[in-house]
Amino acid sequence: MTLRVRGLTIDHGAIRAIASASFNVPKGSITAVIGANGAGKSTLLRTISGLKRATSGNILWDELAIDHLQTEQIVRAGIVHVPEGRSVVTELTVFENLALGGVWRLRKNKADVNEAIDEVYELFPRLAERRKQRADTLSGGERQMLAIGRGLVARPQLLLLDEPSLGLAPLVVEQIFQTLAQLQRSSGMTILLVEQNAMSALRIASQGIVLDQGQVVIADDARAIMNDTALRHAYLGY
Amino acid sequence: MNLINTLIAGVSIGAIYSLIAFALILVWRSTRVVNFAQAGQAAFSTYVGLSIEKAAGNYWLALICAILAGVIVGAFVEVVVVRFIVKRATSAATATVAPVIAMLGLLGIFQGVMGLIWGGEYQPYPTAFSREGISIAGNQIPFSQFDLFVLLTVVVAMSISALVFQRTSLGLSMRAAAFAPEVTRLSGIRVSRIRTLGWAFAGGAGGLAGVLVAPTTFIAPNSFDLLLVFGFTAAVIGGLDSLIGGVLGGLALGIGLSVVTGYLGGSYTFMTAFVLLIVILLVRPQGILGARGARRA
Repeated sequence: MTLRVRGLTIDHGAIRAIASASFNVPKGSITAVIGANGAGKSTLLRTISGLKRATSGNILWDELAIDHLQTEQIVRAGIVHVPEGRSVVTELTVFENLALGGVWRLRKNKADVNEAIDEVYELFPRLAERRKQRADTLSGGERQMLAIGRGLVARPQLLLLDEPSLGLAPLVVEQIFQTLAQLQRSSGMTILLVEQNAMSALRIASQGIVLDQGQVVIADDARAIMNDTALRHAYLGY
Repeated sequence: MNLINTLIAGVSIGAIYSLIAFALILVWRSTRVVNFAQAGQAAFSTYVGLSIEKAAGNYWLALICAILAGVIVGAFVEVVVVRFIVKRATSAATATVAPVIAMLGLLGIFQGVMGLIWGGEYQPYPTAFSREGISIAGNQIPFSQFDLFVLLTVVVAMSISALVFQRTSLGLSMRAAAFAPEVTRLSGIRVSRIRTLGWAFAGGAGGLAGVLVAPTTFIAPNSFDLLLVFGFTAAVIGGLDSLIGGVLGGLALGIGLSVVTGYLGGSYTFMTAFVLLIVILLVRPQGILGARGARRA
């Protein structure tokens, strides 16, 4: 399944967050959306997952137009959004947070939900050790793992990840990104990754999209973006 | 009157405060609305029970119908009124004030409608059990078969709720939706439906509380207003966000007020509840039992 964004314009009241953006997220790819703070990256993901409505334009998931669907329906179509800020339910335990990701398909396939939870424990053994602890007792890195894990229990075909590196130590970021790359290879899942940490994101991505003040300025092979010094200086600041 | 008897006398009314606190907290957690209309919803449900009782002459059928009426009225209030007010009230000030005023208005509407249907005068509500104090070794204690029934009913209702909340995926969804609605939506759960269910559950608890308290207070359109104040005080003691806190707060309040009534006299009871409410809100707004800081709304 391919995600196609066509002429997408998103406003925050009077402020234009995204201006007529068009790009594809090919099946089985890791696509990194990069750009400075305030470039409209999070807004883009929130619109794809139905938390926010676009002003105009279309979002197609293969043939299905998802830009007018409810968030819950978009999850059921296979698109799962892990928002920014280690979004876990701090009042629930690690296990409960993971189980929450599978509630919507529990009646259809309970065995597979349990299997998916076990796979998350394998992927992030720290979560398995802490399965009965409340999420607010976890470290920042563990919370991010839990947030991603909750998304994975839904068995997404497309995972939308917003700033998984935010506020985490470089070593933890490296570990999470390597796990994501490995996960993508083994499952064939598509990942759309929004990051300020352009270097780490591009290293595991096959495609890069550079956003600047709400505009898509570049959509290219990730390696090509990394190797283009002028572009890096202009938009990515390194 | 010795102390133990005084304490015992407060248990069953405390259990009813717990039920009301439970209903208020459930709604507060899911929607961040203090449901003042709960007094009207409970009275309406109790009237439905009383009508069934009069028509069919069956206490148990009336009890079940009152709970069901509470469930339906609770869901109705959420779907028809609350949902739109919460959606329309976008600025911080209106989001805080509008639902409170709307709930007070709704309480007035409920009371008006009940007056039209059932009249304004106090009516007795029957019980299925004796209200004579039980005798233990020749001493009569201020605790009747009916009090025992009230206590057991509340314990059973709360146990079922605890099981639903802790052991079922519906309970998991309700807890998650209460604390992190956005994450819950992103997990594919229909949070608006979960909210309606929360109001329905709360309404059912209110209907049950109404039937349990009506033999004592009698039933009139506004006869549960005081109960709401006591239930709210219990919820505040428990910290507004904790269901267990609210249940314990209800029992503590019932027993505490019984001591006040027993030693100072009935004219102090109501005032004590208010003083307690104000003092807790001033000194410990997170509740006596709420150990952690107040949660972000």
